[in-house]
Order: sequence, then structure tokens, then C-alpha cells
Amino acid sequence: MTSLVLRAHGLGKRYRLKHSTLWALRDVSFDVQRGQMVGLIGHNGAGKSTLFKLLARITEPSEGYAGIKGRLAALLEVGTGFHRELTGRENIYLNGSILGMKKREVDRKLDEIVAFAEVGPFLDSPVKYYSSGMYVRLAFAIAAHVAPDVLLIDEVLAVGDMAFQHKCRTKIKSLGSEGCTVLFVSHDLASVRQLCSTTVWIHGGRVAAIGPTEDVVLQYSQAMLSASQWAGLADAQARPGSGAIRVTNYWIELEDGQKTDVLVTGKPASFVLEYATRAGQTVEGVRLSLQIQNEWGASLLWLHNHMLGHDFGPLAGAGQLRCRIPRFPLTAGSYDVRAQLLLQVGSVVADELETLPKLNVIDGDFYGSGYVRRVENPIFLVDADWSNEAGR
Amino acid sequence: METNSVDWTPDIVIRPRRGATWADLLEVWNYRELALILVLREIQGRYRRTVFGVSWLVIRPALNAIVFSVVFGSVLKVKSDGLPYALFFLAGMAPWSFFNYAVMRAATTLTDNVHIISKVYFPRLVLPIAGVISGAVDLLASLVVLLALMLLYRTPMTLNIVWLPLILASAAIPALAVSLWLGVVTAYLRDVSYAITILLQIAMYASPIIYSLDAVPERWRTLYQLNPMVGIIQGARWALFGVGDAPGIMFALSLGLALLILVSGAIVFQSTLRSVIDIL
Repeated sequence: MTSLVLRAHGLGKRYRLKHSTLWALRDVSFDVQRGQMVGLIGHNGAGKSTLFKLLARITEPSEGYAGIKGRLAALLEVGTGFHRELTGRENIYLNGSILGMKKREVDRKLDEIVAFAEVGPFLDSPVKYYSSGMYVRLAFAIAAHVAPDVLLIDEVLAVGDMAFQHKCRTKIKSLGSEGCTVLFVSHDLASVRQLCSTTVWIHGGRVAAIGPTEDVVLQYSQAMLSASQWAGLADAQARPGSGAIRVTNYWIELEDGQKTDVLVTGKPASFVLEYATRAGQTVEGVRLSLQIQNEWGASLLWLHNHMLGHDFGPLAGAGQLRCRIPRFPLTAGSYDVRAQLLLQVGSVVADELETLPKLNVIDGDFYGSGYVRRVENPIFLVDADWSNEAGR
Repeated sequence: METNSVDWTPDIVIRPRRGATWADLLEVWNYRELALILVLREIQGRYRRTVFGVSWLVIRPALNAIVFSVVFGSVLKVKSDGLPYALFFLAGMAPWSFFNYAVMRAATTLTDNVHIISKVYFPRLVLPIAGVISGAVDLLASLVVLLALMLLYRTPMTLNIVWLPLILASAAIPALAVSLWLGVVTAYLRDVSYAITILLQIAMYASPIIYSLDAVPERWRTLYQLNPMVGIIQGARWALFGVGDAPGIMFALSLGLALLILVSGAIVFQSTLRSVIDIL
């Protein structure tokens, strides 16, 4: 059974500047159910942190309403609510009391918090001597152990080391299964996709999209890239090649025929090239060489229609050439795409495209095993099976 | 989803608000443990990294008593209600140092605690309240010095002394009243925190600490006694040494006035400083 724990309705925050007013947040409405993991994504300055400040009651909204059921803990940026002169132990009590815990409650949880934060030897040193990693570990440990009903986490996990990040993610997941609701701001889309079922995209202080994480992240990534629009293929005559056949348009498609700038690892993708032959001319034995390179120019994929065993046959007039990859194997990154149209006779180059728009990829669950983020960060993923036998 | 929200009653409601309610007061009470921690930190933090440590609490009033008795008692021969000047002075200085410290804290408490204010919620009223309570330590320290001096001078005590705690505690009212207003003003006008030492000095000379109430001209006395610190200092001397009159109508009136300033200060503080982080 679901039950509402957080509702924002028409939430807005106005800042008065010297000569003008600025709406840092406007018309923000959404509902969150118990145990839900919600990601918040958006540009820097889009209003994510302002939204968290309002929900954490650091500052008041200028309009609208929000309601929260139960206890709320917030990790806003680094060093949440620590007093630099106080020791780690004193700060645990200070924060515990701020989060609404009685001293006895903190007494009970102290060992658990210290163990999780791994600050044991420094417990009685002032926190101003702590490293930023220790700061975050302690802050997270306190917030996670006060048994909040709603936990706000703003980007803090980016600071800790890999092992601690992993520990935090595991803890966040288990908090979720215990009924704690987590709102999570991150620029690391892979983390959001791994942890959150629902995502809110905030843009220009407003909710640009809200829904299942996969959909929202894709929309967000596409919008991010459409800013860097590709000039197009209008300059056909300036390109090298005989021009017997030219590419007139190029795009990438998702499985549903939707054009996209962003691919997801493990999801189907189609590269589409529209062509036109020189008026009245029929061209045979066209070879299409499609290459995907990384930023250092190393060729990662070479998709050549003859190599793949396909003959386009005679081409005349206009049409489309498409290459479908059932499960896209490259991991998150930005890649260059090059295409070359060659005629069979003497391997004459008919058209050459060096400046196709960059191909952007975000990580996806290639194996269907639930892993999105890969610690070792491989470039490629391929189909493989594990098996094991006992004995020998 | 919409159906279960009709009778949905959240525990935390976030919306633009004005003014203050009883619920705000109750909330401050719920955060009393935080106030206690802040008070302890205040006290520990003040003398950390000093050689004499907490003993400064006692050294300061003792040194003050010596300096002031030499200058005003021995050299300038200021009248002191027939008491040894050091005793006369300390009885006034004890409640004054309480007030003084609380007000000094209030001027910077918001900026000093900006680390916490910007990261976690708690009723901001807790800060000036904790500031005032931590000032009580100075009061106690001055009292220790005073009682030691009374033993030294073999000053007889009267039964009036049972009223002393109540009279001294009432200094919390003007202290908090000024702290709250000062907290609001300094948040918007940082300059005030620089003017605060000189303002406190003026206020100190407007209270009968180094001189006796008798030195104030008769026709000014009613106005003069509207300063609640006058009644408190006079009351402390009456309770300790049996000199002067018992606290009367003027004392009650001045405290009532201070209470009015306190309540209005609390309302203004609460309603303007919920979003204090926007202006810090």
C-alpha cells in the first residue's frame, strides 16, 4: 500500500535582488509516496538546491505549500550542520538533537554511527581537522541513523571515496526498503538511475519533467545536447567525393522510431542516412562505411554493409539506409561518427562525412542484471555467460 | 493517489507565514536539548585555548572590582551607600555582566552559527535564548567573587537574601528583550554589531553600577527607573546588604515594560528570521 509522505504544491521562492526580483523556483508540484526513491536532476542553478532548502526549512517559500509526514533529515552540500570547533562526538549530539533525537536515542546509536562513518580514532578531535571525506562520512552516518521518514541528499556522495560511495548507496537502498523516502540530487546520472525509480527534472526553477527515471533522464540528456545543435548537411557540394550519391540527412533513432541525440547502453539503436543520387543516375554496389571513434580517434566500431553481408542493390533517386544495433555496446561517453559512401568500381569515394554530430551515450543496464554504473568503467560491453562447476 | 490525500495531515507544513503563534513557542520548548548543547558549547568554547581557562570567569570580575574600587572608590570617592566600594560595585556588576554578555552574544549569534543555520532547521529563537542562558555563568562567577569578598569584609547577611535569586533571574527579561531586537536589527544592518560595545557602555553608565541611585537628580529619577537594570541592581543591593528600599512599583513597572519589549521582539524575530539565511 502506498501512502503520501511528501507533497509540494505550487511551491515558489523569490529572491529580491538590488534592482529586480528573481524566482529561483516557481510552480513546483509533486507527490512522493512512502519508501519511494526520487532523483532530482537539472543544471547548476536550476533550483534543485533551493527546493531542498525549502523542504528542509532552511528558508521559507514565497508562495505555495509543502507538507511532510514524519521526521525529515537533510544532507545539504558538504559538512551538514557541523560546528567546526566541536569534536566529532559533540557534533553527533548537536546534530542528533537538531534532527529531533533525544540524548538517550543518540547514546544508543553512537557506536553504529561511529562505525559507519569510520571516524573512530578522531571521534574526540574537533571536526575542523577532519578531511572533507570524513566530514561527509560523519554527516551521512548521522542523517542515515536518525531513522528519518524523509531523507534529502544533495550531491554529497560525490565527495567520498569509491568504497564509501558504495556503502552509502547500499545504506540508501536499505533505508528505502525500511520505508524511508529518499530525495536525491545528483549530477551523476548513473547514480540517479541506479537508485531512483522516479525522477524530477528541474529546469529554470520549474518542473520540466517528472516520471519514471529512464524516461526523464533520456529527455534531460536530449535537451542538454540539443543546445549544441548540429549545423546539418547543407554544404553537400563542399564535401569531398564524386557526388554520384550524397547523404542528405542523418539521424539516430530509438526502437520506437523516435529521433534522439542520446543512446543508452544495452538499448536498441538505429543509424539512419538519407541519400539522393545524382539526377537520373542509378548507382550499384554502394558501400557504406560507418565508423564510431572515441575522442582520441581510436576506431571502436566499424559498421560496413558489405562486412555485415548486406548489399543495398541498385539505388536511384532518394531513400534511407539504416543500420540497427540490437543492444548498443558502448558505455557512457561522447563519440565521433564518420560515414563514407563508396562506389564499388575502383572504390571511388562518392561522399564523405567527417562532421556528423557527436554521438552521446549514457550508461544502461546492458545485461538486464540491475547494474548500471560500472566501477571499472569499461568502454565496451559484450554478450557473455558465466557458469561454474564444482570439483576438479 | 488523490483519494488518500483528502484527509492527509502532514506533520511539517511549509508555506509562507507571517507573525508567530503559540505553536512556535511550544516548538522552542521541544528543542530544549539543543539549547542546552548550545549553552554548554558556548561556555566551553569561550575559554578554550586560554591558559587560565574557565578561571577567567572569576578572574575578570575580581580584576574589575579592584580597578573600579581604586578609581571610583579610593581616588574619586564616589558615594557607595555606606558600603565598601568593591562590594557595592560587584553587587551591581553581577547582574550587569549577565545582561552585557547576553547582549554581546545576541549581536553575533546568527552570523556565528551560520554553518548550522544554513544546513539544518531548528527554531531560530533557540539561539538568542541559549545566548542569554550562557550569560548566567558570568552572573554566577561574579556572585562567587562577591560572596568571597563579603566573607573578607565580614558583611552581615539579612533574610532579604532569599529574594536574591529571583531578582537576579529577572535580569533575563531585559537581556532577552534586547537580544531579540538586536538579533533582528543586526541581521539586516551588520553595522550595529560594531556599535554594540559603545552602546553597552552608555547603557552601563545609565545604570547605578559605579554610582548610587541617590546621585541621580530627584526629577529625573522616575524616568531613570524605567531602565529595568536599575531596579535589578538596587534590588540586588537590598537583598545582599539590606541597603535601600525593597523592590517596589517602579521595579514592577520597568520589568513589565521590558516584558512587552521581549514579547514584541520574539514575534518580530520569529516572523522575520525564518528566512534569515537569505540575508546572512
